[in-house]
Parts: sequence; structure tokens; C-alpha cells
Amino acid sequence: MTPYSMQKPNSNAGTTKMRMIASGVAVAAFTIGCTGVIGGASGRESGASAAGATSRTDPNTATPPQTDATGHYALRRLTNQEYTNTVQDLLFTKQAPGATFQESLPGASGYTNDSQTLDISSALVASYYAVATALAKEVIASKGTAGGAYAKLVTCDATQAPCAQQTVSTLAKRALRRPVTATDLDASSGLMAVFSASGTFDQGLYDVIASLLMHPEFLMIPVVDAQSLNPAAIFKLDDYEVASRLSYFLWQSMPDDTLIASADNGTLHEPDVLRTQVTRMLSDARATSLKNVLRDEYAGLLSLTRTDFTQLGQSNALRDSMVGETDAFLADIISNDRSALTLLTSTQSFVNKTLADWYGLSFPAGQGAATFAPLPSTRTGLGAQASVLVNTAGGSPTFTNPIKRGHWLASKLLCINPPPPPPNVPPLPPASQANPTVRERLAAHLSAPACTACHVAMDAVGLGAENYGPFGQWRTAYADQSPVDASGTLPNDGTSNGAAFTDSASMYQALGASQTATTCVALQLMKLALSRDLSAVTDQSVASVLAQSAVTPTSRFSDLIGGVATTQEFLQQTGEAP
Amino acid sequence: MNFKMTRRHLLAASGGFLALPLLESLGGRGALAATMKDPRRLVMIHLPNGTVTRADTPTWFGAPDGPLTADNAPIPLQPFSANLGDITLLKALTQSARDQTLKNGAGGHGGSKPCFFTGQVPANLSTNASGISGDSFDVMYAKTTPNKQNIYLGNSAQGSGDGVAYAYELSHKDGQKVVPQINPVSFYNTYFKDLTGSTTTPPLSDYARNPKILQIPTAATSSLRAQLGKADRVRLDSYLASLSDLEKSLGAQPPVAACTPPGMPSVAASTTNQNGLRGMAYFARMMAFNSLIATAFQCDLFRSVAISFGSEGNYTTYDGVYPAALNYNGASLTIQYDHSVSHHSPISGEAGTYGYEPNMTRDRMHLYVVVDLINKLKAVTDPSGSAVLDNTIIMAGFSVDDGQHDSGPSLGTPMLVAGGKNFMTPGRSFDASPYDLNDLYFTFAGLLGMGLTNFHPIPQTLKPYSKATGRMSGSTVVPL
Repeated sequence: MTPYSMQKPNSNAGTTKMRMIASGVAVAAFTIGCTGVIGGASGRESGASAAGATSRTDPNTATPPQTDATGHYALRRLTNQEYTNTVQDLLFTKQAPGATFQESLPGASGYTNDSQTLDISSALVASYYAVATALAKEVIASKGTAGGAYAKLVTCDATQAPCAQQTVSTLAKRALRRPVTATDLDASSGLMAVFSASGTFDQGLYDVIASLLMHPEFLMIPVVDAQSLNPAAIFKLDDYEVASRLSYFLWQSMPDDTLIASADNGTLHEPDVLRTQVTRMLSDARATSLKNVLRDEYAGLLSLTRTDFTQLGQSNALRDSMVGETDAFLADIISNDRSALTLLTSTQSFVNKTLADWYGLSFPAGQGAATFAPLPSTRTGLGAQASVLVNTAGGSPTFTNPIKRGHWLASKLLCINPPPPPPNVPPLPPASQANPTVRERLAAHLSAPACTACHVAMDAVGLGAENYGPFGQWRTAYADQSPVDASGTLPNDGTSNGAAFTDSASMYQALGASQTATTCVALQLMKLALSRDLSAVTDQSVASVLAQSAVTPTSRFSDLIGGVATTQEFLQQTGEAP
Repeated sequence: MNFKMTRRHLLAASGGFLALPLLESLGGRGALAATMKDPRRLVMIHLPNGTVTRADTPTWFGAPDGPLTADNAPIPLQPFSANLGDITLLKALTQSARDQTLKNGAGGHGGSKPCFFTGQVPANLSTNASGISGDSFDVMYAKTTPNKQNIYLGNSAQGSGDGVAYAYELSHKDGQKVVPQINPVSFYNTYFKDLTGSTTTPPLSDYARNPKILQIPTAATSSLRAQLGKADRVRLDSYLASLSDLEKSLGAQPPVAACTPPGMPSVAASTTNQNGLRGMAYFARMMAFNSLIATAFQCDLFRSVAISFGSEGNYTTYDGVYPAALNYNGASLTIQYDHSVSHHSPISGEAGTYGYEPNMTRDRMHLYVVVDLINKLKAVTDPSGSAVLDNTIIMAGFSVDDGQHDSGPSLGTPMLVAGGKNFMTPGRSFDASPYDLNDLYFTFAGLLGMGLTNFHPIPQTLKPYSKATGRMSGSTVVPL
């Protein structure tokens, strides 16, 4: 069998750019001793920051932050949702086969597309094969149906000889997300050999579909280059690789024809073209997938949607209203291209009648009870929405767990990622005469050296949210009538000295003004775009510079996404040791 | 201890060296015919988060050595009196690898779990891999059954809050942990969708008709591999190995055993349940797995199954929807963390009530699923006419007992062994403290014909002491 040769038919990186990874910009790091800690917005004096700084007033013409370290976008398989979206776009099926695979779980980045956790097992591959043959069968079964999958895939006269290769070639280009080569189609060792084995057009098409759905470049997102084996190399992605990276970032699916056409033109890597494509893609219905990822994995509400509120003494209608608020909030940011800073600072809520009553807001007359209407809110940002507060409260209908809330706030809003608790972590001491309040018990917990480093930051913001009860209602006293003390300071990130707050409302307001938090917004989107955790100082520096121009009151969501998509981290790749 | 080591036990444990005259003593020529003809299977079940066996609480160890009856059944088994003849309770089986792991400083739950199916002391617990080498026992057996898959099922995979090593370090294959399938619909689609009944010759698989369907992706993977760095190559190696497994599976002789193809599990059973509620969706899912296991055994699709009933972490909760008859002493479970229920004392940040009563209710819920599997294996037959259950070893147990977070003295860890009437004598309870979990696996190896001369033998210095036997070097046969 002739070996495949990966080619870059339209590589803008025809001349691989070699650079030694330079020492990064200076970034002040957190001082709390936790691993995975994001630094603040330092590094502004570096060349990298200077480049970003020039763009603050006009992010659309910004030069992407420049650093010499780009990181490695590890080969990964599609997430289950990406698999479903991709086969729906590729084969026009309405099936959601990814839902039957073993669940994709978040990795260190906090997202399910983390390349480090997307393992491949024999069981999963067996599932892939079962689905591949089932989908191929569905395509063939649609033959004769106007507008069906078969009609869309076979656009020529199947009785004519050239039709086979035309059909296979077109399908393969879409499935592999790059131009097909002669090797791909080879009649003895390529897809045309698969096609020809059966002797009939339909059986051949069936076999090719099944084979393509098992192809590594369909199931995975590779970046190849002649310098892939050189760990000192930094090389540019070709435009097709950029197209895939962008479409799986924004749509969790394959590139569409427009994106591929841009790659065909060899212009997709150009910043202006990329920003135009970002704007187009965010306004496309497929951007709903990005909203869903932010809802389920950034806000973390997937587990909430599976929680039976009736077992907690509340109605599932209330649960759905809470999730619906966050869903509508995120959809509004994306579809109306609002500033990403809205995630931290918005005082507008989207509530239906049930949630308005729960919040104590007046629901406008004339609106349907199920309608999510925009209303002024006394809460600030995503983190103060009931859905997030309930989901991070610890699962009890009667008390809140500041550690769990603190973990979410620290990891998602401040990008402080505490490692998993050690196996021998001691339990929180029970309430006692010496330590009657949760704050005092946490303080005692902090006295254990193993706990101190990570809990300092987590507990500060976790306790800062204590004015919100288990179901997100505002409270000033606990059930035993003892007063809630939610005062504190934000973790000291080395640059802001930790803003003080007196209660939960002022804590969320402080978060909205925190440079660390705005940088974290950019970093979260970068993690999602790059499918990996970003703990390197240089990554955080890029995020910091990006946030200064694209997470501001006057910037737009597309500025941030466009900024991410034009970073070197997004457009380049470092090699690996062979 | 009431049971003595017999020649039969020793010979049964010696695997492929079974002598015909002694085999006849197992149950007559009918049983002999069955055992000679029918395949033997293994189901290993890990029950998460330990149980309570303190001296001051009547829980698992009240029954005297001897037959289990409705009058002496321990609390968790009381609702299942009709199945007491199928089950043997091993009281306080020693788990030396676990004990050594805990002495090394690991926490109870996370530290104990990697030891359970492997019988080994993990090299580390500070990363997401325990450093266990080689295979766990279920995989070792699977490797002795050519063309049969080993199946890993579970109610949960690792969740983001489960921490390192807490979740799914049970089965290991070639030194790597194996991720369980948690979705019965996916399991069905993988192994059963195209299965036909015994009266019909299965159609030629697509792969058998046109091997290029997989040969082309395999060649493309190899080509791609050559152009990637080290870590990416590892990922592709995993895919290549999986493709190879798939090709072997598809190329194997199609099953023609006398079996009835199962139906697709209900959509409700497809609901994944990581860190979610454990209500009827949980039971529907686990019992859907049980139905598929029974069919697969009957069709001889695979012979080794490993199951984890849940995460060893904090986050699984109950929702109170389960048969009320399982409640012990009025202790119903509503909003409970599985982890908390296994302890006497409140755990910080975890809701619910504590003590042994809720724990017994929780254990009954586990056994409710185990007994469902027992009955489903009892309802299907092998070619000899023997119940599949009678040719199947089911083991179910915990990797940790009470005392890890509590000062109460623990009496040890219970272990259940069920089925296998054609080569074991279930329906008993006995003090298993002179034996180690690794001895149990060694014994299983003999009964399954694996031909092992030992199974990670516990060093004599660590060996459990028995008045009857003292400390024995090497692996020891447990009288099952």
C-alpha cells in the first residue's frame, strides 16, 4: 500500500518560520502558591504588550499580541458534541450519535475539548464504527428523497464513470477539511479502492462514507508540518488548519464552504479576513454551539440541567427558568455582539415570570409568562445569576458551601485553578464553640499547611458570595439568624492589591473592575480556542494584552474572538520532540 | 473458620490441571458435562465509597460461619432472601495491597481504589495515573479468552471534581487505566445492534465484505503518525491499537450461540449520570447493562466484565426514588452524597444524615442491582442446559471500610462471591480474614482455568495470620 503523504496544498507557511522560543515577557505571578495560577496584567512593558497597547482604541485594526511562544495544540479527537455537529453538517443527518458515546469530561482547561482528556479507547472506536455504518446506511436509504442526504451528496449522474470520483472527492474534502490529494483517492490504496471493491455505486458510496468516518483526519484535528518533529520550531498553520481551528472554536463543527473557500484563496490567515469570518460566524445559527459551551462548561450548568429540583423542595420550572436566564444572557452577548466585559459587569437580567418572582422583580405586563424579558437587575454579572449560585452551592437545599462556590469563582472568573484535593485532605472541622461560623471553620481549615495555598483565594471569594442562599436568594442572615459576613478582599494578584468588599454585591462589582477578572475572560476564550490549559506566563500575558483592548466597556464580543483568532497562539504551532 | 482446605479446592484452583475423577465429585456427571462444555465467565463489581462495619453497629458480620439463611442474613442481604443460596459472604477479607497503600499515606477512598482489581500497590497517587503495572485481574482473564472482548462498565467516569485516582482506576490494561462505558445505549450499539438470533446465520459484516473500509484509515493513521511529535504519536498509537482491536473483533467468527438478541435499551437508560441524581435513571441504566451482560454471556460474546457502580468521590447523590422495601430501619435516602453515606460522621460540605442506618440502605441499593444481575444470569442457559449463572463468578465488594474518617474500630471489609454452582458452593458466610484479596483472585484464576501459579502474592511478612494455617507464602486458595 502506498503510504499517505500529508501535503499542504495551500500553505501560507511554505517557508516554515523558525524561531527559538524567546524568553517570555515579564509577568507578575500570583503569590499564593497554587499551581495553575494566572498572573495579572503585567508584561505591559514588553514588545508584546506594546503591540497590543496600540490597539486599545480600535480593536478592529489591532495588531494581535505578539509573543514568541505559541504552545502546542495537541492532536485531539472531536468531542462528542463536535462529532454530532460534524456528521450533521457533513451528512445532513438529524441524528445525534455523539450522545451515545462515553461522555466527554472537562480537562484541566475546564472544557471538554481539552486535548489532554480526549482519550481514545477500543470501546469508543467500536462505537465510532457502529455509528459510521449506521450513518452510511441512512444516506443510502435517503436515495430518491428530494432534498435528502443522498441527493445532496450525489450531484452528478451516477451512471457516468466520472461521477464516482467526483462524489468521493467532494465528500472527502469536506470530511477531511482539506483538499484531497491523488494519494487520498488512489485507485489501489485510497478511497477509490474502497469505493470500487463492491462493484455498485451505492455500495461504494456506503463504504466510502464508513471509511471516511473512521479516517484519523475526520475523527481528529491534526496540524502537520515538516517541522512538527522539531521542538524548537514554530510554524504557521496552513489556511485549512486555521479554518478547522476556527470552526471548531465557534461552531463545534466542520468549516463551511465559505470558510473553505477562503482557505482555497489562501487569505484566511490574514487578520482582516479572519475578523470578517469571525463576525460572519458569530452571526450564524451555528454559533449557538458556542453559547451552549459557555453555558454548560464556562458557567458549568450542565449538571444543573440534570438536577431534579423537586428533590430539593423546589420546582423544575424554577430550575429551567434559572438556566434559561443564563442561556438568554449568553445568547444576547453573542448575537448582539455585546462586550465580553458584560460577563462580569452586566446589571441586566433575562427573566421569565417564574424567575422574576423569585428575584422579586416586576415582570412586565403583556409578556408571556415563559418569555425571557430583559430587565434591570441588582445583580452584577454572570456569577451572580441564580443558576450559577445554585449550581455551586454544594447541593444542599439548606446551606451553602463556600469552598465549592469559591472554586468556581476562582477558576472561572479569576483563572486561579486549584489542583484537585490531595487524597488525604482532612475534612472541614465541625462547628464548635471555638469555631461556630463557617468563616471561622474555614479559617481553621486554612491553618493546615496542605490546604492554605489554594484555599486562600478560593475561600475569600467563596465567603464573599455568602449573601446568596442555596437557591441564589439574597440573604443577610443564616437560618439560625446568625448574620452573614460576606466581607473580604479579592485575591492579591500582584498588581491590584486585592480590592476590598463589604458584601456579595460589592464583591461582584469589584470583580467587574478587576484586571485579573477581565484578563481571565480573555484567557477562558483562549483555552476554549486552543483546547488546552494555559498556565504559561506568556499565555497569560497574551490574554492580558488582549483583554485591555477587547474586554472593555466599548469593545465587542467579536473583538475578543477576533483577537483570539489572530494571536500567534492560534495561528502558529510549536513542534514536538520526535 | 469452619471450612477446611480440600483436595478439591486445591485442584479446582490449579486451573488447567483438573483431574476428571475429582471433577465428578463436584456434582455428578451432569454437572461435569456442563462444566466441560460451557464457558466460564467473570463479573467483577466495585461498590463505591466503602461501607460501615464497626464493632458497635450490626451491619455485615452478624451471621455465624455456615449457611446463609433468612434468619441470620446480614442487614444488607435481608431484602434478598430468595437469593441467599446464590451468594457467599466473605467476612473481613484482608486487602493487603490497600492496607499498604494507606500506610504509604494515601487517603482511604482515593488510595484504596486502584488496588482493588489489580491487587497491587500504586506507585503514586499524585497524578492522574496510579502507576499500576500490567493488567488487572479481569483483563488477565480476558486475555486468556481469544476473540472475546473484555467489557468495562460503570455508572461514572472521572469527573472534574473527583480528584486524582478517585474515580476510575479499577481496570488496568498493559499498565494503563481503562475508561468504563457509562451509557447502555452506546454499549448496545457497539456489541448488540447487529446481533441476530441463533436460527439465522449472521450477515457478513461490512468489514468482512470490504476490509479496505478500515485498512485505508489505518494506513492514513500510520502516515499521519510519521509527521507528528512524540505526544501526538502516542495519541495516534492509541487509535491504531483500537483500530486493530476493532478489525480483530469484526474479523472474528460471528457468534452463533443459542441466544436471543436483546432490544435497544430505553432512552432513559442512556442518560449519563456523572455526579447527578441516582434515582430510577440510575437503576434503569444499571439494569439495562445487566440485561445486555446476560445476553452477551449467553451468546458467548465476551467472558469478562468489570463494573464500577460509581465514583469514589463526593458528588453522586440520591433522589429517594428506589424501592421502599430497601429502607433499613426507616432510613430512607433523599438528598445524600454517596461518599457521606459511607461514614459515621458528617463530612464537611456534604449534605445528609450519617450513621450506619443510611449506609445499610445505600448498600441494599447496590445489592439490588447485583441481585438483578444474578437473576438475569439465572434466567438464561448455556448449551448444556445449565444456567449461565452456574458458570459465572460474580464478585462484588468494597475497597475501603469505615474508619478512614472516623475513630470507630472497623471489623474489616465484606466481599460477596455469587454464582458458579458448577464449581463453587455458594450460600454461605465465613470468616475470610486469613485470606487476602489477591488469594481470592488466585482462586478465581484456578476456577477459570487461567493456569496461574500465583497472583501478586503478598509477602509472607505481610501475610494475614491464621491460627489454622499460620502465614503461608505464595498465593493461597480461598475455599469457595
